[in-house]
Amino acid sequence: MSVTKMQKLTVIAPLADADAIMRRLMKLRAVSLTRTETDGQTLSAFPTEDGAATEAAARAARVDAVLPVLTKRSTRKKQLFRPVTPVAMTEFRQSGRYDKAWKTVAEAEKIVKTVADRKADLLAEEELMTSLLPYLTYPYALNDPGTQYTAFVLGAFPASVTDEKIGAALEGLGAVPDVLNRDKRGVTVSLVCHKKERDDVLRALAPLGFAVASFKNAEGTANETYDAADRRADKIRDHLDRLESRLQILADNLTDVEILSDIEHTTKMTEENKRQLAVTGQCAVLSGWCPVPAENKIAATLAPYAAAYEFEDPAEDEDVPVLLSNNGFARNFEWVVGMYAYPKYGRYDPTFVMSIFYFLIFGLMFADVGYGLILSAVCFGAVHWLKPRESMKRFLLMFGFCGVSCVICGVLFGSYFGDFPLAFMRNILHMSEDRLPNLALIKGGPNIAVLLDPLQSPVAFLVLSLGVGAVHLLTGMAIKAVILCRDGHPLDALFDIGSYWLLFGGIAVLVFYRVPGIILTVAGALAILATQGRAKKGVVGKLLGGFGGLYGLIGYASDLLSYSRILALGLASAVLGQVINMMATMKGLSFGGFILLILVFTLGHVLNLAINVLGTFVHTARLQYIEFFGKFYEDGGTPFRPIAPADKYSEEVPEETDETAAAGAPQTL
Amino acid sequence: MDFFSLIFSGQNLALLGAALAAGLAGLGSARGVGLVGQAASGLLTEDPSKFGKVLILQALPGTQGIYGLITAFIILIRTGVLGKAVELSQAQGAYFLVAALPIALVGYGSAIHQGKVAVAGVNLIAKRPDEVGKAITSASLVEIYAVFALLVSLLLIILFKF
Repeated sequence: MSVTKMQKLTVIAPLADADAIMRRLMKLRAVSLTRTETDGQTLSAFPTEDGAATEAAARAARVDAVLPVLTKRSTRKKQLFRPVTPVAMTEFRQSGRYDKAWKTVAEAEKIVKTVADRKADLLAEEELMTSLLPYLTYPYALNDPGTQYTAFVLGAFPASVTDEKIGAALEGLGAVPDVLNRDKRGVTVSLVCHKKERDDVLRALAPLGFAVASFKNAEGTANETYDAADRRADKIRDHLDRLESRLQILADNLTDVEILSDIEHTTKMTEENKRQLAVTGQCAVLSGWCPVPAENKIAATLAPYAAAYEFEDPAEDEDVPVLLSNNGFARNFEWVVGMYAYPKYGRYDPTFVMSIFYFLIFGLMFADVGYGLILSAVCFGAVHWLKPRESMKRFLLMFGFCGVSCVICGVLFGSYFGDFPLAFMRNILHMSEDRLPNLALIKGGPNIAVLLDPLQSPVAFLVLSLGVGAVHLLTGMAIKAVILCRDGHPLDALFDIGSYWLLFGGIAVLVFYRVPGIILTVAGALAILATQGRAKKGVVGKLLGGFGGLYGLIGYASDLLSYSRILALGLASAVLGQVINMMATMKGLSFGGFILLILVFTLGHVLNLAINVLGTFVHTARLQYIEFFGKFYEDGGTPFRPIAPADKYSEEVPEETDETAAAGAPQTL
Repeated sequence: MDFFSLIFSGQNLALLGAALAAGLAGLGSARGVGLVGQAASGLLTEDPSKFGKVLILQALPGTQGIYGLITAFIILIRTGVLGKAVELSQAQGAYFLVAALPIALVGYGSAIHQGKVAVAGVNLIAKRPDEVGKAITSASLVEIYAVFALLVSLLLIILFKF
């Protein structure tokens, strides 16, 4: 439960070794980089003229563009978590898999482009065929210029135009219209008219919306053109099928292409990381941060090279990256803290205490033995069998542990898939109300709880929730007091925390003994009044500050009441469970009733589980962030993000000859 | 019994109170949370890494719905719908109806206003991601009034003597 101590790392190495050293440091996953300052004299920026970074980025982009195309066609078994392939890098290159993967990428790229072009061609042919459909009855060639004195005109009107309108428009002109086709898209018409009158005819028909049809590349009549286009379209479709089968074959190499993607991305990141270095004439200078426990690993990595390195303590005001370290249980809750904000370097890491309260409050809100067992089984099972990566593993473990808490609270509050045992006893065994068990410590109606049943004794559960909230808030204040004392301000702890505790203690005592309670409460209030304005100037200022401190009590009351959401969420899932159980057991144990039972039970409880798990997670987190952290948390830390190779698809297997493996210069195609 | 007494029986009046508490407060929370959700989605198109922070801001106006739900539950339990049955006169039912009004009305209004403050908070952390604490504090200030209303409603309902 602490923030790991960090060291500033500076490495000076020959320029030629910069790439190799960078790659090996990335593989350690223990160093984060900062930009090395250049000063225009000894230190200048890393040379970028060779364009290595852009080239690496381009190569990575090419592989990435091809991946979805191959993934869609791959016959590999689909798994929930993307499989991570272990790879020995030198073997990958030397056995030719690297080259073969690049050949696959290149060919797939070409095919994708060809497919796009051919699809455009196919579309053009199909559009031509559609536009020819109305003209299929026209017997003459589409581009027939006409006879010596007549012209042929082909075109279409909007669908609303009638024969009479056409006849009326052509009044006085020697043109003969022939309607070829009439449908909702338009009226297709062929016209014969005198060559001299062609323009007049077009002018006369224009107001009706006449559009002349032109077929630039027509080969003979409409039918002939249509057939030719149809044959061409079929040829294109065959070609597309052949290209598709070729892609299918290429997709068998998907795993290697994925590994290739990681390799190229690692190269890209290496180049980008090198940009953070500064250079002298012959050497490169690297600056960064590393955790103290990793110092030996780093020293061992740098040993084979002619490199000089130094570990330094961070200065007072530097923005040191934050790496949390906690025990095996609390570690899984670190991401909850991270989702809100990281603690400042060197300050208190609340993960451990928060994890205990998170465990407790999650269980209280989602108390159910059945749901808890399902949650834990799914999460722990997934970790055991699917072997996910570290971050997903911690996420699953956290929910698995919370499931355990749900089981414990489920026993305390008598919830086994809601009130299923009781509903079973009522509706299926037809036991009368007075024969149902009433086990709880705090009696209500029938229940099988050990402590109390939230639906039967909601006020008691409310008191319990607020009690948990009070403990949570007091713990937060205690942490603040400890922090203040550790910083050397014990008087501040006494005034800021102690005076409030005096007042709270007075209220607590008031419940049992009136007079001592009142005395303590008043003493607390006076203490607050006297001390909360001590930073201000003048008596009036101090008094006003004191009243401000009293007003702050409202904030505490509001915080406490916020914990009533534990009651709300607990009741919500309990009531939903009750309704589901009532519906499921409605028909007793007849044949139909049994089917109903299985169906409604399964669907209903899965639904209840899904709806409530999200709400519980969010609200438990919110209680930590706002009510608990608000009392003491100093956030504003930046998380430690070590440089690392790309590992989306592959995992590097360590080899003995790591020096040669580190020289991962990309081969040109 | 005439129609009026049938519709506005003691129990029905109390249930109307529960319905208003859960319904209005829930409406307000839904609207408030929805407003923040829209702003949050806009922010996430630019910077998906802020999801945790916007999730907190989005959850903030949800409290009033929960308070309304609790109040409705307590009413249902005290008036015999959940738990052992109780006979309610019209006057008693009207008492529960009135007792539910503070959280119903204040829950609705404060949730929407808190949502608007949270939307402004989302805009704040778009430019200044480190100031999320200030955004949350501003939004939480509005919640105090919902807490007061909840207090009044719950006290009235719990302390009722038959």
